Amino acid sequence: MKKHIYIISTLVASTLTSLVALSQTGAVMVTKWGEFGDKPGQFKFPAMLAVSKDSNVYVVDQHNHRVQKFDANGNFIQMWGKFGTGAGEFNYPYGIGIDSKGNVYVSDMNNNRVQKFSSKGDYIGSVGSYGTGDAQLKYPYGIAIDNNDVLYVIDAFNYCIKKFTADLKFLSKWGSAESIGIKLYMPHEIAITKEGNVILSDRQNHRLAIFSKDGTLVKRIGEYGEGKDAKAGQFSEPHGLAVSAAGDIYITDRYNFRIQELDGNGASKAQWLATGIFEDDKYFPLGIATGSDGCVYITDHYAHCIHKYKL
Amino acid sequence: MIAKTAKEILLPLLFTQLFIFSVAAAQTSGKPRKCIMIFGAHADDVDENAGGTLAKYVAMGYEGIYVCAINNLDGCNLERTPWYDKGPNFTISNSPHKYRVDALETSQIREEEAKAAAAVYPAIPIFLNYKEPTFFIGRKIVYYGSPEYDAFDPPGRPLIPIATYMDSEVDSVYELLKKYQPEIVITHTLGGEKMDHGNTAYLIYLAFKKAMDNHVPVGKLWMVVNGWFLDKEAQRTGRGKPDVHIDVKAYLKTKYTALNKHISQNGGFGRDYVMGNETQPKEVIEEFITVLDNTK
Repeated sequence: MKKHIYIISTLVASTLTSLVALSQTGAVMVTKWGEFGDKPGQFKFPAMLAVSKDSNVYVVDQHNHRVQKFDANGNFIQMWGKFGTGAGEFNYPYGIGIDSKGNVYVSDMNNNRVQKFSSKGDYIGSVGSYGTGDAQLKYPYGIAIDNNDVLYVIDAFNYCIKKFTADLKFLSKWGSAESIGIKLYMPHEIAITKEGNVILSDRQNHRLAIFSKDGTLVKRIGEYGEGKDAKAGQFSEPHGLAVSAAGDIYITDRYNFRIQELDGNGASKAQWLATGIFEDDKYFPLGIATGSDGCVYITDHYAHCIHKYKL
Repeated sequence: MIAKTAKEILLPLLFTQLFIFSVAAAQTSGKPRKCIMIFGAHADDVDENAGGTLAKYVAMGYEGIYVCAINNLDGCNLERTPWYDKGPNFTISNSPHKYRVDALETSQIREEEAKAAAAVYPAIPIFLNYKEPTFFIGRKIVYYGSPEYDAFDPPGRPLIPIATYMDSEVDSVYELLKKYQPEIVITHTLGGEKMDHGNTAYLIYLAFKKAMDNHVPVGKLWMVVNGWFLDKEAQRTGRGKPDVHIDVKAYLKTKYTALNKHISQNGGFGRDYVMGNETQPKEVIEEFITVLDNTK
């Protein structure tokens, strides 16, 4: 009897192992760091993250109201910020981006502003207060910075994308409740494609949307699909977005618990389960960023950690 | 002739100036005009309970104050449409799943919807920001007191039932009553149909009592007719019998327009979802029970 149990257990284990291996096709987890807590290197619900040219990883540690900086191997370097409304303080920060000079921009969501810091965390300035004016914001979500250091901000509850200079001066805006609000209820993350277009995660419609810099819809990518049988190009609440130097698009497919890689035209290239297992009540990949070394970093929002994958 | 003409011209001007001055003086005296305050536990409760009455009184010149007590960390489902229960073809994306929205985002969405609803009347929106006792992390419901709830550390003031025991929280509502000196205050029923509703009512009740004790010129406290007021004992003794009947037929459109602003609650179809596009007779009259009366 014991022998039978052993054989069955071995069979189940080997099947599970092969399934896990299959699910990880296209990517290998290089390292993983972080756990719940408020000490350096620990996180409380990490949101978005960004990788600098010198391969440092900046993570928005949302419920600790701070930013943490690591090297490419996950070694802690420094952190800044605490809960509050003053300069350099945060109230549930969300998005993050880095400009060509290495300055770091953080969307300070519940303070309705974007703050700018040096790569060492020195406060430089901020833009935004609650309201509908050009330089005002209602809950800024994702941010992105293009090759010309133009800052793009998802102004979530004004249902528009706002553009600012690197000096945080308002440039222009596009979008409306009809064009990006209800149909795209609501965009959460934003990235700039290799061609200079703007790509948004249209989370509640389970797809992506690409717009020109000035807000003309270029194309939509993807459709709804959820579960173990979800095909490549199908999404269930796609959330985080990143575009690699080569122009490939990476998406955290949140309720499929996986990462998808598309080419610049939206064709599927690879996909893998974020933790190697399909478990729908523990793991939710949320933020995503790519490094110059081609590695992909994600935040696991509910497991309070960072994963690094090599393709 | 010239003097008489000047008198004829100047006197009315003088009276006009005096009138304007007296109005301005009244406005700067802290009590500019009559006021009606509606306290709802959640973002759409003001509209549900007393939207027609609020619209009617605002139309009569009252200042409308639209107060949400709880910060709505829970209660947002963006896949919801009026036809959700009919299956996946009736959801936004053909998904068979309900997508619970994360707590922070839900709070933002519902507060913005409440502001849009308040603007319909128009009324001044105020958010007391008491914590919701439940919310979702992913698809998992999290309850107050659990390790997950504490770990999330949601923003907001204490839970409403705790607030009713805190002098500072009763005082914060009392200060609002003192500021606006409302002639009419409407809220949920004591011991109402949901815990948060009943506790909100109790907090308002305590603050109103304090206002009366301190001779703040508040008027009447009305409560919605539901909850335990309608149990058999209440009916037998007459405690549950409404004594206020407001005909809001002319203001139903305003009420439903406001309800429609709560897109996350009804897929953007508002009251139509509940009513099937037909006005329910009972909604033509909004009924309340006078619980406290400071005018006698």
